[in-house]
Amino acid sequence: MEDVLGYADDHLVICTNISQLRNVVNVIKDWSNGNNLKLNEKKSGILEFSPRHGRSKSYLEIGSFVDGIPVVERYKYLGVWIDGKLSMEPQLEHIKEKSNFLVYKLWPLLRNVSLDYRMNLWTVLIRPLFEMLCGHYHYECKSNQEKLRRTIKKTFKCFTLLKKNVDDQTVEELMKYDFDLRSLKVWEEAKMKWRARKNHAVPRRTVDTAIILEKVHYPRELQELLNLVTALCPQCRTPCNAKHMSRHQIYLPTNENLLKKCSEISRNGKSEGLTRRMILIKVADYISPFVQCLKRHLSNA
Amino acid sequence: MGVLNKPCLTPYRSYVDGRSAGSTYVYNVYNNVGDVNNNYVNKEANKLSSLTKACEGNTLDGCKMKFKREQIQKVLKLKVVSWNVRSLNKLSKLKKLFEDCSDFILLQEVWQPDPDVCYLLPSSMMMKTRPKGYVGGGSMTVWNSEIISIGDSFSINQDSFISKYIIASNRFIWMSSIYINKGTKKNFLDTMASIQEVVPEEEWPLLVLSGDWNIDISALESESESDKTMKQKMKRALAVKEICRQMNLNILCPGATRKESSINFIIYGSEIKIENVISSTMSDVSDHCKWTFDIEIACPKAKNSIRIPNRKLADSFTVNSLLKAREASDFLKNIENRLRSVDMNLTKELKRKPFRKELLQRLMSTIETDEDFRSIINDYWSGKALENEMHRFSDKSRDAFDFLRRVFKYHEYNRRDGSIINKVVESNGTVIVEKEEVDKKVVEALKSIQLKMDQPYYDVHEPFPRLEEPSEEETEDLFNQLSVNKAISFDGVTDIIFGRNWREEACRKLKNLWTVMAERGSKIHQIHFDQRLLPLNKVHPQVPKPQECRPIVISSPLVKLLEVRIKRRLEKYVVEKLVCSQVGFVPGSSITVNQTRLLERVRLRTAHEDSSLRKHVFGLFIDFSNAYNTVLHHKLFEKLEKALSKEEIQLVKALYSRNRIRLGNQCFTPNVGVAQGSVISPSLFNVYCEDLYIDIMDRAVVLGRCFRVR
Repeated sequence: MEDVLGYADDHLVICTNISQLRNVVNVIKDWSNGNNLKLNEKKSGILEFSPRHGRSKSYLEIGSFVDGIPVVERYKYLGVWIDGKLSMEPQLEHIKEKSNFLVYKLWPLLRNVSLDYRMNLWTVLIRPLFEMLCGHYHYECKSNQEKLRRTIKKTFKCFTLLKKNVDDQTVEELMKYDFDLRSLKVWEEAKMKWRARKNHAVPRRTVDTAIILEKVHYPRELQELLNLVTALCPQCRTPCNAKHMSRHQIYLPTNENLLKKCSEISRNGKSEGLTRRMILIKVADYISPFVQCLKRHLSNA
Repeated sequence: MGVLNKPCLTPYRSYVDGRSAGSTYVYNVYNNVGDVNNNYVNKEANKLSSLTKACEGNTLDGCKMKFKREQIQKVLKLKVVSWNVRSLNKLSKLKKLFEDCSDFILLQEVWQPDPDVCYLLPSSMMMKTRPKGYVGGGSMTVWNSEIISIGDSFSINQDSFISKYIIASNRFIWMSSIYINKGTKKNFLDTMASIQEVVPEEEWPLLVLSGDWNIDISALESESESDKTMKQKMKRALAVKEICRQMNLNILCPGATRKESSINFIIYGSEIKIENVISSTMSDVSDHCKWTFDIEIACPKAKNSIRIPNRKLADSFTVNSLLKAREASDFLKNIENRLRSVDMNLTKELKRKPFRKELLQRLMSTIETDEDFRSIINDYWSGKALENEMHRFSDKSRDAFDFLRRVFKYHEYNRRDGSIINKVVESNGTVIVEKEEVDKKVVEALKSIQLKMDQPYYDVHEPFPRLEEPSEEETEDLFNQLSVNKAISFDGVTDIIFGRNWREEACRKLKNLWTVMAERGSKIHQIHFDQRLLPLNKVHPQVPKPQECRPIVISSPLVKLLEVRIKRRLEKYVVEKLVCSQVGFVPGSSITVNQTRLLERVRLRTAHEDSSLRKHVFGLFIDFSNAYNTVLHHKLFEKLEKALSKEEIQLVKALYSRNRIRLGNQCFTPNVGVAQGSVISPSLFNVYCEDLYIDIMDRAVVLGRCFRVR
């Protein structure tokens, strides 16, 4: 029961040896003949899962056939790419490819809209693909977990057009997506749901405890400023951060303070009943002097 | 060269005098074709003329029909020669031109042809020259009069003209031999503007503009931007590229055509394919290359008017019928009466929105100002994006959403099925465009899956069962399970009755729907059970085969309401009794359940704590083709006995015996497959599949000893 997984017309059977595998294939063929369903052999697949470590040889050769069903290297199961080592690699590759493609295609749009619009697009288009990896993440070692988190940040920066070397803290603050917590929650929920299913019960609705995030309006200028700060000061060859620039009589807020200020203006604007557009302009008004100043400094040299 | 026929003098004279300089003359006076163009007929032409001859014996109408059908399914191929001749005054040049049999000859810079040469030209030609005394310029087109005749012609600049050519009586293209004397951006834009003026927009895909543009199109690929002349060249080339892109035209340049630069190229529309471009140097007579190419004109597109269901009318029908009714049977009667008043036809013609090519207009308006194209395009898109963002949280958010949807429609990652099928390709390669024929093919393909001769067939309608009338709360619960704003079917009932405004009233009045069905089920009009088939193209940009269609079926809200009655019962069975391996469409389960289960079960073996116990496992992923559409009804009903009562199964039977899939004039009642778009189908399929799991666990012995929890 545990080793037969069904999701509507998507079926998966986990077998522990090859004779069993053949048995199952025969049973399925018998059944499908009797019930007028046609097994689509080309789209079905057998995937051999092997232990990660150790050099045990695989029993089945990729590209060969077992009773007409091809042995594959990876398979897209319920939207996630899975390989024989259960690694996150294939899915991550897929995400990267998709994200690059989308950024390339949406370039004219992304370039012109405000920062929070870009963030929204990322949330809608890319984040769900990471959610699929919640289970994998739970079992992975520290370094692979780190790798996943890095990929998340990378695609986020890609979408928001932030430079590669914008500091992590700022990005995390903007992104507001803690994968550690999220994956744990998803994984636990899935386990709870499965327990309920086994007991033939409907799981009780989990009350979404997520704090309703305050909507902060980030204008395009913020991204510009953050990117400029990563540039090297032409005179001293160190990054143009707030601390350094004060030496050149340019007073910038630190990134942390900058974001705080943005949320403050947004909050005030909202309580005054301003429209989103007005708030955005207000925030932009606050940031653009810094941008101008930095730009002048950078081009002077 | 043989004996020349004497030409009629009038047009020739006027040309020599140059009285109306800069205008075009048609020479249609040579009735006998001289020996120059004896071989000026290619195989295709022969075929076509023999076809026309063959038809002559029949009645006129029949002949036309035959001819059209033959033509419509065929890709037309024509051979074209394009050459900048640098004065047409030598016989040797003419000889070179006519030596390959082509259907079109496009010449540029004919200057002022010699009178002797003009005698030799075939009758089917048109040319435009500069006034007398001017050396250079002019263009000429010669066509094969066997299959081509000329329609309207218009002058588009000092040296060139464009004409519509009718080919084989029912196809046409716009062809022009272009010569731009000075290849500046202004001259180019002027020429294109005149073309846009005379050629209607929907005929742009059939444009072929070939000739000497005097703009080096290869400049775009060069990298040295520093050079001033290079910059100028790049600007011009960019103008050509961008205008063509906005007009959805392609550019084909076979390589350097004059010395190093490629100033001769072909611009052609999307319905045209160009093949076999051969360029040959003619260094002894002209410094330009001559090239020959084949153009292929695609099959003409179907121009059927698209009829879509009229939602507004249907909504008003539903609401008015509901208001006037006292209970369900009244409601049905009212709806039927209203439907009769419009002849059971609730469709309206889809109005096509005229294209608005804002960007093109803005680019074309730079004739005078000479702005940079790149900045205009960038400005345009910034404006669009900003506008989109402005609209996002205003009352125009719908526009913003539509814009985004349009953007994503063309920039999706793994593109999935898109358009509704309006033409299909048969196995022998012929494309069918007539709507009735297409409908027939699609329905036939679907019939081959969903209509099995060896299965019991519904020749009579099964009676509806007598079910208890639901209480008020139960009815409300039923209504709550149905969603609104779905596509509508043939009968005038829309899901507006499930919406917030009318739900209460509908609940009260339609409570006895099941009883009404049981009492006068045979008298209920079939139209309520007709399901609208929406065939989607599985292989989107290509023309699909009839089998490559994803059938979407839309049933009436009334049917949905009838069957939702047993949804809760089915769900209860699925949760409480169904083998728990199946989690799809089970309330309270999701795909994450299966994803984590897979990980857990595999890792249990491959990542065992004790490394000596680690072993390989095999995942068998199964995919059934057309799973939902191949369910056998009688087996389904058998299997349903463990989940539902007799009356409830009878309800499904009654519905399935009446469900008729309809597309245009084609319809059939399937006897295989669960009803598409029905709210209970997923659960029905789960029940149908249950014994597969039991079989696997009993017979294949997964995991040593397997146990069943019941």
